[in-house]
Amino acid sequence: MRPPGEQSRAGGVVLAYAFRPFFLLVPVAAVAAVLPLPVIWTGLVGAGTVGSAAWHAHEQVFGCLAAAMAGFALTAFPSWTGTPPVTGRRLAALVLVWLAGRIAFWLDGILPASLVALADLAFLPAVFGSALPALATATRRPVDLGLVMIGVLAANVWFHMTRLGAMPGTPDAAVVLGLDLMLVAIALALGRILPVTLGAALHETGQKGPPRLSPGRRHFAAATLVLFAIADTVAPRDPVTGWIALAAACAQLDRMVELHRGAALWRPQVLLFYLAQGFMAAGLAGLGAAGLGAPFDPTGLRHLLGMGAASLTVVTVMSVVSLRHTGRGFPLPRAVWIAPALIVAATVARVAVPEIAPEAMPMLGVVLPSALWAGGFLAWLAVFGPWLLAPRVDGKPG
Amino acid sequence: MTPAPDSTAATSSPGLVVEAVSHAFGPEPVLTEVSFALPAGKVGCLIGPSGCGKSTLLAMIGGLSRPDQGRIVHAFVRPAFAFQDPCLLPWRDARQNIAFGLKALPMGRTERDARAERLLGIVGLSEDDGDKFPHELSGGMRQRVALARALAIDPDLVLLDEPFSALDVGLRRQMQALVQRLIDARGLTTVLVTHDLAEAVRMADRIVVLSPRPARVAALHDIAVPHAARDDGFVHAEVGRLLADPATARALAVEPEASR
Amino acid sequence: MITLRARLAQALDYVWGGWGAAASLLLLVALWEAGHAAYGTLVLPSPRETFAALWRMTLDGRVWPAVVETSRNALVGFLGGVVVGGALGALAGLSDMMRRLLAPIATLMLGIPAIAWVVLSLLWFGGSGLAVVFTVLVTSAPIVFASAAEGVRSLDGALRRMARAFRVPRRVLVWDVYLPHMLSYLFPAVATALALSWKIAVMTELLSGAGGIGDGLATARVQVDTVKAMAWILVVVALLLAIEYLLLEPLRRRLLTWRRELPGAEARDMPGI
Repeated sequence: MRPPGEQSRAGGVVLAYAFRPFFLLVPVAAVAAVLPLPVIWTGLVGAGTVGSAAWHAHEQVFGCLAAAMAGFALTAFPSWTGTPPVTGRRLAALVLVWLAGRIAFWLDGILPASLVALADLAFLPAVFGSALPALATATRRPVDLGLVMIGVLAANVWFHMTRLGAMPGTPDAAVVLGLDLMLVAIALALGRILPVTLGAALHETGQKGPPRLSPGRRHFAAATLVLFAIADTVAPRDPVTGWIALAAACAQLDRMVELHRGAALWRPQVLLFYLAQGFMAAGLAGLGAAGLGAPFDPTGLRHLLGMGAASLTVVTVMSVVSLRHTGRGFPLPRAVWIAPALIVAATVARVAVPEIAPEAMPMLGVVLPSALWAGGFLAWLAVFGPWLLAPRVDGKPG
Repeated sequence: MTPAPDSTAATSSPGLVVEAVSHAFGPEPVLTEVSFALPAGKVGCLIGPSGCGKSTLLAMIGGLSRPDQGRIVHAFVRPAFAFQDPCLLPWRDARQNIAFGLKALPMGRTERDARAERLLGIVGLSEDDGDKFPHELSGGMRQRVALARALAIDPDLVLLDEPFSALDVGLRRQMQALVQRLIDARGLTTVLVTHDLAEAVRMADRIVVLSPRPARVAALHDIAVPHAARDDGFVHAEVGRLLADPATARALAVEPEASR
Repeated sequence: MITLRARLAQALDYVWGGWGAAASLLLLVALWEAGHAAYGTLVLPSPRETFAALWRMTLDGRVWPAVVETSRNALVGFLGGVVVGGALGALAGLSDMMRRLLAPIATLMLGIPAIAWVVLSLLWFGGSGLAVVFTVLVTSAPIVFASAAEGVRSLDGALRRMARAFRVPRRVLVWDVYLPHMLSYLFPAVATALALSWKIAVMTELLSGAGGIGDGLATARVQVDTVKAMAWILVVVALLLAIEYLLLEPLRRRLLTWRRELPGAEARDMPGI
């Protein structure tokens, strides 16, 4: 492994394992993705090749969520497959590729459009490329997650192609597909995460018995989400898609029963995932109802999925991974609640305001949720950032 | 209950007397003139080749059937059985299975539950095991439940019909020791049916060797060494000594070296 | 010991399990919607049209009486079938002579298609509720017969011997030994017969015009009103789902807990994070 002297060098700790740099960058990306919103809404900026909504959504999905996914996957794959992790220089290169994509997209409209596309699209292939040599020799490959991430990459390719006029469709549709596929990835990844967190929660609350999570339920939930992603792309406003969305919502609700384990449900590492699944079900149900003619604002409902479901899961996973991979054990610190609370508040404001008080949208529906959202992620950084910057407490490498 | 009787008192007052018992299934005789006595508080072993009528005799001692001729005399009022197949009710959990025999006694539900709970611990099962259904238990655990069910009714006579023969060797020794401990502690009169001479030597005070069908008593052996003092060496030597007796060897149809 | 709290939690988990079933059904509805988009209302009305029609029919007071009538006919026939099939099956299980006498007849009855019974019962009883009851009875009785015979025949000799050895009273013998054993045999057959009885009842009503849901379906057919026909089909389906998930499945869980799988037996395929 790494020589011990290298750990102490500046940057050595941060590059010791993939979750460290990426989880430090996720909050930055999350804030950056909402920062220009008030400005864009006032019409000062917006010379880019996509609309403000598509820009914001793209940064959230292919910037922020993608970084979180990469940090999680590159940290978890080695322990699932027994392959060596990506660290040091190669990790630094990955981070730079990601940063280049973000900067390029910020400068969309100034830089040539095709250069922006290339810089932004480089990240996921780079992640695959860094993990592939090790995975090629592994016996148990997480094929399902890999396929979904390839789908996410394809969605981003589509996004840029529509922007460049090389493919039919709209950037908005492409970014929606990206988000839908991210939900699939989350549903699958939860199957690996929940046994650990639920097991810890059962232990903390003094309950006996194994976590008891059925792979069938998880696969059913993920399969309905895949179906929804396809239908949502092929026929976004069709009633068929509406019914599929309702079915997907029910499948997510069905899955939640596995977390009904008495007091264990109230531990943060379980309750936050439970809430996120509830948000996912609510968002899908709302989209289903909207597809069948109910007067809901689909954009608001997408935020229920992106903020409530995806981000809440991401923040919780980041907390758990930061805890365990810095050599600490459960329980999570009490401060773990702060970021999720702010994100939930942001989600509720973003979704409820356009439904009940559309006239207050700029202030209460955009600025307020943006501030809460940014506050949530900065709070996460304040609580867990120091862990990411310091060596493991148990002195092991990583 | 009954204090462990000292051997002189026990031999002078036989607890169980089998007198010239003969029995036939249809035209085929199963038992011919079987007679033996077992002092109260002692362990008797009926040993013989399979199908020789041991189980039939045991059922008669327990009062489940009557012999055609002869008689069985004893003063016991509450016999308890454990069979080779544990015969648990598949639709009742371990705790309820243990309490099953208690339903024949005038006893309230709370007392029944309390006693089942106690027996669960006595035979070495955990509280969680008590919630399990028979198909969720291993063979050894099922046999423990069957044993607990037999002991729960506070029997004065324990009848064991090859209760260990379906278990593997390690488990069998473990269960033998457990049964030995439990019946010694209570001073229970016990009749054990087996076809394993080593098992008989390990556990019995008196061994009744039955000949092949139709069974008659081929030999009677008493073993005076206390149970606790019977180590592997003793059992091995004693089995050899018993098989040196031609009647015993013939009845069990084994060459001395082929014994288990 | 199972506490009230644990019972409630179990009940909640069961009801929550309805979401899984709902997801599956909604996917079917999506397929239905796609079929509607492809073939039009005359062939396959849209789900929403159908639900609306069903709602209107319910408000008009046409659905509930039909449900009651069909259910009554189905239930009476079913109970008759269980009594006749169960009693004859028990006889066949107890006596070898009766088994030789009855088993071939039961097999033959099982082989006669339900529609043949419908025709016969229409000829014998005309277009009355009796025709429905009779058809349901003769189709469900042989199903119950076979399992009742098998249940009685296999009443475990060893368990009975054990119970006798412990000298338990007759009441305990029936309650702890005979009844659970018979239930484990009878329940699946009775459940099948119950679900079948509704379908047979609707079919007979449709052909006899004896009222009930089948009659509604027949009227819809005459009027070439696909929407109404689909609405009636929904009623039947809803009834069957209600019987399955509100009656049979909870009973199954309650009665057959002892067959439950080993807890924690599900494979956990990979280590976590």
